[in-house]
Amino acid sequence: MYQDQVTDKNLCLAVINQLKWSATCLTGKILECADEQLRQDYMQLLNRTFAEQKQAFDLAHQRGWYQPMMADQQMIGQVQGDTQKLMMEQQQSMGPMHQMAQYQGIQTPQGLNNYQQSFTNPNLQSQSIYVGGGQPYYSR
Amino acid sequence: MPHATGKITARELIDLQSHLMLESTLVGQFNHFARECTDPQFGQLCQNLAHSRMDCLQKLAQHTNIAPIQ
Repeated sequence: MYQDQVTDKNLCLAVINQLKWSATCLTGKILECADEQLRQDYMQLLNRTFAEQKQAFDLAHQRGWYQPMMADQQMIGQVQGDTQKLMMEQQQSMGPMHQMAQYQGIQTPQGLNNYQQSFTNPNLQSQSIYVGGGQPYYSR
Repeated sequence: MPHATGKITARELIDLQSHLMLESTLVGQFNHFARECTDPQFGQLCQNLAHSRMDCLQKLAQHTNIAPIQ
């Protein structure tokens, strides 16, 4: 059987791909749209497109026409390891900021406001921001 | 009515035209698929999709009612 033969399976896969493409195009247009009403209409169309693509996918899946490749244990383990590494790197990079926040006493919402104001208030510009072990990170 | 004041950006107008063409193509294709397929449930889905995309086309077409810029 040739792959380009007109079968229900090929037609259904074409429907799914057309709706995916429509959703991609709509997303780009929403991001570029300045007019609120047009933007809202595009967003409604996009939601409708998502729902229709799901209907087509469900039918293809029921018929056995669309069988996504499942991730094997090796792939899952690789992603889990990479994610753990990424999270550790993020935590390490967030560490100095967290210590700085504690140093400035911004655990409370009021403290947070003071912290935000310190970036714009000229009276607070002589402060140094310290990171961890007493070394100034930068001075303002 | 959308854009009654003639305020639409050039980018919006180009995007609108291209999407109207895309929706029009989808209506034609889904109608064609509905006629070509043998599975009744899939045929019904294609017909529904064709109607739905026609609604989208009509709704978007309203945005082309643009008054001339004063």
